[in-house]
Amino acid sequence: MSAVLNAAMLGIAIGSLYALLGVSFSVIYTPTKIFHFAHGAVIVASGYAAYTFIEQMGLPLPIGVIGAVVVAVVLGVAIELLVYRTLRRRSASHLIVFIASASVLTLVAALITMAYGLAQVSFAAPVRPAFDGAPLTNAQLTTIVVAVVIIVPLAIFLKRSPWGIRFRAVGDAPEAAQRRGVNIPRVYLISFVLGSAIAVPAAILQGWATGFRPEMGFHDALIATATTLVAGSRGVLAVAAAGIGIGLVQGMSLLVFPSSWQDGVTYFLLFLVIVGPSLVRRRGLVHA
Amino acid sequence: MKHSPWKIGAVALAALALAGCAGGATPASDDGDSSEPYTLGVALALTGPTASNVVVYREAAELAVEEINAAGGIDGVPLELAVEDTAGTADGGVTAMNKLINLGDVDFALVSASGPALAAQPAAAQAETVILCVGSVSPALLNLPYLYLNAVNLTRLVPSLADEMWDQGFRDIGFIAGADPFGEGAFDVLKPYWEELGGTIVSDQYYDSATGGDYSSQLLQIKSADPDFVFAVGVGEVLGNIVKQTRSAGIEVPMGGPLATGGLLAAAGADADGFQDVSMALDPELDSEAAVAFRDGFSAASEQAPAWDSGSAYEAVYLYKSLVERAIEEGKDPRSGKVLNELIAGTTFEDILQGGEVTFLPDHSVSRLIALRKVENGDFVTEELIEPAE
Repeated sequence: MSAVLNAAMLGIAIGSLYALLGVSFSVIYTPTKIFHFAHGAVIVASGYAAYTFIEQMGLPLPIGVIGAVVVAVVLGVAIELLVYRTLRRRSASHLIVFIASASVLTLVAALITMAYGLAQVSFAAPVRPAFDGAPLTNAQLTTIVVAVVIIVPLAIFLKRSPWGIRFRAVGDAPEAAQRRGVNIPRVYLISFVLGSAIAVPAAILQGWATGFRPEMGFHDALIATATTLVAGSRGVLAVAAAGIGIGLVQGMSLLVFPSSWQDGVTYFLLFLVIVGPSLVRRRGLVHA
Repeated sequence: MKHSPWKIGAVALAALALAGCAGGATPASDDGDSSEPYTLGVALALTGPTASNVVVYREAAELAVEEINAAGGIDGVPLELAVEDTAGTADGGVTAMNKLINLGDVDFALVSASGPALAAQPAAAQAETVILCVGSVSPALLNLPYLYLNAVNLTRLVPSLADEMWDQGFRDIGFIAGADPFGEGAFDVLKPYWEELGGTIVSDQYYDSATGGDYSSQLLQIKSADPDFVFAVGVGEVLGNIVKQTRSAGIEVPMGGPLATGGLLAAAGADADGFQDVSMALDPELDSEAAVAFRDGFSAASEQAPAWDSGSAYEAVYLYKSLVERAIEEGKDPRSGKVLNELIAGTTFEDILQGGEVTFLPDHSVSRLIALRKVENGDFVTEELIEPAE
């Protein structure tokens, strides 16, 4: 029983991080419909910024976090204004936008490597079991708490506030939204501000648990994209649930499969979730 | 301005003629021009999770090349490096080797990491290009055509450490390694040896060595198996991260593993203290001319202290130089991988780590003194120098 509980707890901790990554991505994806792969660059850059402010400059944690949020927002907005808006004006295809986004991610990883080197950097704050006999570390437990504290209010905000309504309206029917006076470029911009800011806690918590490496943004972008794809357009809570679900699958798969199969099991299930229904429908099984 | 077709045709013909003359003037590598620099291929994981560990290989190789060229090159001909990135993956190894063979025209290449080397070997053998694995130790690399290793293989390293662990009273091992030839090779050697001693491997866990980063799942499994020793296999900082996260997960039993480097100390910090390792080791007091030149030169050129890993790369470049010189002495083609492959088998080279000479074994690896070490106060302390187990 304790093995099941431990695996489940680990899965929830992993999933909470995925939920934060996915939610920050989906806030941008909902109105823009851009596969913002460069979100990984925002995550990794904000993590390194937090490391710089807190560890290298010795600033207090809250100031360091605020500084990292500023870096994330500036980078996210810069990507929207300089890359996506430019490509939008030229009516670039989704593929071109995706390639440009992935290029930004690669470029930022290279710049970080040049600035900080290839070696991993990490916070000095020790990572230890949350309490005696706990299956989770203090970093993992904090991730779960932070995910709840951020995602629940965000979901309420996006559900009930005018901005949340505008996000969905622009994403679902941009032309209709524009006819009703919604300033679409501004909605896009606000989504990048919000999504980039929410990525910062995920970056910092991940760095605390496992350290920062320049290439970590690729994995984060992949997870964020997958989580959003699984949730579809069902809102922030659905994305969070998808993230925790993926984490739980990873955690519980330990009970059945070797740990080295975790990623394989996860992505196979993602494949089933994303492609499976289409295959079933195509064969007419859904309506049978 | 308008150009007539005749004029364009004449210019094109003249250009072709000039190109032909240029080709005739510099037969270059095809005809084996003796003044053309020798090119030594280098395929390293310059990106990916182990990249920070590999920087020293490049720095040491560049140092050796600088020294050789400053001393007049190889028989008066300069030596240059052609460096390619393997990203530490099998695919990357194949791509890098194909580029070195087809674009760089190299006949001898240094390769780091077992996975890329193993994947690159068939292409190298087909093209008659010698691979010298620097610091790579997987048993899967043994006895392969055109592939040699200048490090003691895991088949000898792991039993040496296992004997030490057994003598210290450990019986139940939790094993964690990358799902790659290095990690799996270590397990394949350790498991039968440990069980023959009477011990048990209570859990064996593998991580994706291409991504790495978070080992909490593997460590959860190891923790639940309640080992009295954790045997960890990883390259550089990856090993450091494993050690750090093992302690973070509340696993406090002693740890050890083969071939730790400075990356362990950098990534794990104080958590590395007590880690036991078996490895090649650099004698900082060795007073041979080559050893002193390496230590002084590397200390000046690199931010990192000279160690066995950088020393291995430095030795490898000088080994290539000696093979080329032997080929010239014997009237053979020094730019032929086939010739270099014949010459390297069973040859000896100077050991700048511990002194004396190192000889290639019939299985293409080497036997040289190894050290049982322990991390104390953030540094490796050699506890005993031993001949590798047979």
